[in-house]
Amino acid sequence: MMTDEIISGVLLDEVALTVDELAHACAVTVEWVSIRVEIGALPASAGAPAEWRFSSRDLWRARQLCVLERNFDAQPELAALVVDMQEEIARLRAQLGLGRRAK
Amino acid sequence: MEFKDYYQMLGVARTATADEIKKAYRKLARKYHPDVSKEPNAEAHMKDLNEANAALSDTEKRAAYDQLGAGYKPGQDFQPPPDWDTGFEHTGRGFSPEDAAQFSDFFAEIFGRTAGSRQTRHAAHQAKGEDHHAKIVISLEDAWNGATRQISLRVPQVDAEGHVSLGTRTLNVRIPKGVKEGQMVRLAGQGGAGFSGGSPGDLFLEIHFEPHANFRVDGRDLRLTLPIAPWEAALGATIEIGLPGGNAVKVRIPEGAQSGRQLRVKGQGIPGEPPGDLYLEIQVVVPEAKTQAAIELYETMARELAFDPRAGMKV
Repeated sequence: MMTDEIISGVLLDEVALTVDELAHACAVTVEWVSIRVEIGALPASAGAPAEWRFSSRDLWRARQLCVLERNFDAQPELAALVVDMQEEIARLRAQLGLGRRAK
Repeated sequence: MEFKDYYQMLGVARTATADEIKKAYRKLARKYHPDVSKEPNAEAHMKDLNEANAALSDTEKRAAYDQLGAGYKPGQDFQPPPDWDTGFEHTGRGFSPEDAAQFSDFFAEIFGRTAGSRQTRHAAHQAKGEDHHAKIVISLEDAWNGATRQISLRVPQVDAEGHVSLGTRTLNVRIPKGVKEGQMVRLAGQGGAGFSGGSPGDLFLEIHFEPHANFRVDGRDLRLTLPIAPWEAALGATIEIGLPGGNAVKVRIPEGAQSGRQLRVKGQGIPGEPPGDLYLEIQVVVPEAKTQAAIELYETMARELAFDPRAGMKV
């Protein structure tokens, strides 16, 4: 399938996702998202779920949580801890890259 | 197409229980997880493990695989007979678009055929199509200026009889200027088809950058190790730096600059709202004393400057 049409993308952080959109993007329910927000696995501002807005990073985190919970039957809190560590590893690796380049 | 022995990949017998398969997958997933593994080709191993687990942890898929794969050896040429899956009752859990993108042709060939009834899950009521996800690697130059890139996605396609095959979908996508590493670009309506007249899902592209020869990227900030000559460090200098966007910026190196010192050039990172900054780490590079003139220059410096770089150290 081929098309010459050029499709324009929208940067996700310029237009943040609502809770419904985040849930749909991860193929989970809004309740699933609400529970992860409640335990701090996903960040959300104070207020009703309808007011929550999610970034690129939040979508990445939510999808990692889904995979960990599904593949390892991980409790949400444990999956969140693993995702925190994945983010930390990525940050440290980036720093290590800087260090290597500086030599 | 080569036959894949999913049992062998997970190191379990064909008679393994669901619990044994789960345990084997988890044990090997820890060994080969790309974030922690020191094993060679850990990422490829992990992909195989995910594929094997997806096939064997699902009762329907496992039954289909067992019937089809009996008698085959790993690596053996494999062609499924036509309509081999006739008589199987599938609840519709075939393979997701993400599976299609990540897993092998072997997996797609077998389980693609079982995915058709996914479409029926929402058939009774109108619903938005599934959102799809894909990764795309672009150059730093593309992030700087924005770019149009052609991307090919492997997607399951459903025929009139509900059978699914793996097709390639090519899209021309405009990547917005100022995108960051890891950021998502949302392409509205480019995901799965809607159900019963519902709107199509969206496609989320996760952006990653190709490694750049000189610059490192941190959000929209750029980092560059800047080699300078000893006289530029001692006396100060103005140095022109070519940026990935094609433009250049002149930077004043203050006199007395030392290796390791960082300079920040505000607003000269990747463009955006707000734009990133450019960070320069000074690296003083000493020329070799290869000629008589160079040797004499160094000897003059040694004599005239009375410089002891270890003055503050008790060594």
